[in-house]
Amino acid sequence: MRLKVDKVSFSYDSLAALKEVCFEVKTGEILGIIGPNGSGKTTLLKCINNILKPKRGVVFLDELNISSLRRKEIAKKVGVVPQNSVNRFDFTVFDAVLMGRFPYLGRFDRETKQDFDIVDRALELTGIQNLSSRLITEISGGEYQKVIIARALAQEPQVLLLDEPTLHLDISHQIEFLELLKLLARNEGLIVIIVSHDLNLAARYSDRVLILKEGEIYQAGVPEEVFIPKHIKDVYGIEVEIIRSSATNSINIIPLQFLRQNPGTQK
Amino acid sequence: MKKVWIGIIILIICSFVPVYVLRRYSVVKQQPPSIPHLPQRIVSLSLVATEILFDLEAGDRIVGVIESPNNPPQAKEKVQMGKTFGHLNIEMVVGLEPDLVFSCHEIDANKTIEKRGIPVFIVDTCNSLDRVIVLVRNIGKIVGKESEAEVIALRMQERIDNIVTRVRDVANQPLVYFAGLNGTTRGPGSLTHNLITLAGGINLAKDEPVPFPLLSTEYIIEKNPDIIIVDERGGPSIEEIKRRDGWQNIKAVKNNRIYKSPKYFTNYTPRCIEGLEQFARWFHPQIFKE
Amino acid sequence: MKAKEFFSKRKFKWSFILSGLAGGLFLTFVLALTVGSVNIHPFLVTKILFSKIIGIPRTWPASFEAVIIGVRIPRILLGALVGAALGVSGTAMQGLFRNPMASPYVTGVASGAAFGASLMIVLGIGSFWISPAAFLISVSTAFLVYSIARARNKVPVETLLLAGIAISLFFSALVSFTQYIAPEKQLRQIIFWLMGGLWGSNWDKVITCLPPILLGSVGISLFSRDLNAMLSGEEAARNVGVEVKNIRKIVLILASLVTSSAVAVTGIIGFVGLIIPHIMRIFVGPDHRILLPCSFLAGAIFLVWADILARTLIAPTELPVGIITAILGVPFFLFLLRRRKKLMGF
Repeated sequence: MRLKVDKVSFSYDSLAALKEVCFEVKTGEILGIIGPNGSGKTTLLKCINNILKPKRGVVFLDELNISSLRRKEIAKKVGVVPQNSVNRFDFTVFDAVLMGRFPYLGRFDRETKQDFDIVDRALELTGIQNLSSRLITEISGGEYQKVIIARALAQEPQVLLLDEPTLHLDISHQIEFLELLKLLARNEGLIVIIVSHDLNLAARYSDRVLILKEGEIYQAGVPEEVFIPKHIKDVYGIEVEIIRSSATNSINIIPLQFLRQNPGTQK
Repeated sequence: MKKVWIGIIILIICSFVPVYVLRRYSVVKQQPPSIPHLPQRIVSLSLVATEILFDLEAGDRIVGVIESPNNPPQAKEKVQMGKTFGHLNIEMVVGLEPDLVFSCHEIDANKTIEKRGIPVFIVDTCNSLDRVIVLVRNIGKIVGKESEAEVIALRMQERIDNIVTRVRDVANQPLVYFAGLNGTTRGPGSLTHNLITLAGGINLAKDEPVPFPLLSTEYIIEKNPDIIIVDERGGPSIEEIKRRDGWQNIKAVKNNRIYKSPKYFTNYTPRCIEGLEQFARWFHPQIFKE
Repeated sequence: MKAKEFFSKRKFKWSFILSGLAGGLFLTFVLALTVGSVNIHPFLVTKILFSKIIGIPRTWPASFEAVIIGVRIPRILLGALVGAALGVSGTAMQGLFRNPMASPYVTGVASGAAFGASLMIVLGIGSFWISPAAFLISVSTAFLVYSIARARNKVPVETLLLAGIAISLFFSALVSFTQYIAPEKQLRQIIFWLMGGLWGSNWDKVITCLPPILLGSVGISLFSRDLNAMLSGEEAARNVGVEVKNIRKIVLILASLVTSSAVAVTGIIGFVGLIIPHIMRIFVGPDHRILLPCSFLAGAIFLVWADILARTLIAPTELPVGIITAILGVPFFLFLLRRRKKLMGF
């Protein structure tokens, strides 16, 4: 399984949001996408999902052009956990997760045992079986986030796109969440793409990292290569110190000082 | 998605076509029931018809009427069917087993009644005195009271001619404004307009395109009518008109020529002749000094 | 609990609720048949009904039969159909626009239908064409509202509703205008029709509105899952595979079909489309698979009841049924609201 983003460009009216973005992700890989506000991260995710149609360039999923597929077909391959999911309606967790089976059900179809089993499995994977009959309006933010993942998993996707998934989670839930993603990538063979503001979590859990700056890829590679003070200073305009944790064996980025002028304009 | 759209279009077609086919080609194309020769059980849903029927002395054959304070007193003995401006219960109409129903133009209920084999005669709105006379003759023919109808018709015509000839050569025709409900007045196409004109007056609203126009106050003040007639049915009171800002200088107000017109003056029954005569007296008092 | 078990249990619960409502509708029919300004004993009513199926020698006056078969039954059926239509389309609109204030009137659909119908009446065009004309204008209105609210490929819900209200007022004004210019002949017709009621019910009207209302309601219910998904937001629905743009158009068309068919035969009856979905949502939840059929049945029951009151309270004069629906519906709704703070998640 391979996801290939080939020279994708997108503009909102005249504002260019993405400029010829190219990269590839393999099965079982976790790709972290980071960048300052407005650098085009969310736009990129939406282009991968074909919610936004790229002005130029193509997104390939195993040689298949994503824009040639109908929404339902895309939903069978790509699951999305968006930035803010607010739901004010009294569905049960079961119902919410079952919605993930939508792409597989024809208009006159009834849900089958297989669908129910998949729902059970998704709840199991995300560890929220005990919440299944509860109403989604009565569970916490962190638990709801898991419901959304479970729904995405029920779509049996090959690719999982997550936009700032840990924003509203407390520290223990953050770790729990990302460990789950790691499990899904390794054991289920999913391609996981996470957009995040949290550089440390990105550094710790991504196999590879992409830094976006003003719609272009500034740097791509393994966290050790990408997260060096020069790059951070260029992109974010901030001095940092990089240290390695012996416990987690991953790097940590410690912000030092905000530089007053704009970050360097050269790549 | 395309399949879904095709399905939707088929659904829409199926919603309308079968009904159309059914209506057009229904084997038993029901003819509306014909009016009997001499109806004996009449229900009158039209206040106008009620009055005319009693005038023709066919009141004994009426079994049910619409309630109204304007009904002739004998109507009180008949079954009261509710007020026109509420909704009337069709069940009651059918339940009285009439052989003829007089109705106004509410087509839906008429169909229901006709489907039950009861003929319905629709009392057309009359927007001129000639039509009222025709209506009287028609109703007379239906209930077998032609001679009585002829008498009434001829008498009406006589009284009309009397007025018309006397005002024909008058030089000064007063400008008349008729004040109705909510500021509406009466234009061409309404009986009131016909009455005003025949009585030798000039209707302020004579050039308006609709029968119940809403005239602007400025226009009325500017045109300065000589006479204002106030509709008792829903129109403003005479005092209220006198109090209106800017109206004080209107000739009609200054000279106190504001008159109240009761409902039966402008309704299309034979009694509207009294309206014609009273209008003529107001417009040309010199001619009609009794 | 495993998923399969949960959903089987719920299916059972839903069947139970639906049967209960269906039973309620049947009982309402029975009651409505025995009540009216012409007093006919219930036993006699049953006899008359059966005589239509099997031959029984006639021992009752012909007028009784005329009243039951010709007047009451079509009126009850029409009341049920129109109530159901308003219930379903109200639910669809609220789900589509994710807004508790949405109703067939607020979105301009009903006013467009009213204008189409009154236009036909004023022009004196044959009565068959009233319904299709109402539908065409109603659907055009829906699309007009939709395209006004569209900004850059997105259709923000609030703008859609504002546009709907504006267009709705526009068509109401047009309807008033047709009243203004109508020759007196048609004027009475329009006025009585606009007052909104089951007064002029007959079998023709029942036959006219039955196919579009039934087919349209079934059609809408086929999109229950899509509507459910859309409750979480347009994007979330797209992520799960819902073709939001198309579904919106289709549901709008079907809801217009259902609403315009109802408005074309009875004029404007308010509150049903707004209140019934909320009441049912409080009892059965937001899932459209159960909510739509429940609103259908509940709407029917509600309007037939309102009509029973309308025609018996001050018999033989009738009250316009719209007044009854307001008096019945609003306080009950407010009461439910206090009991349960959340109103459609707001």
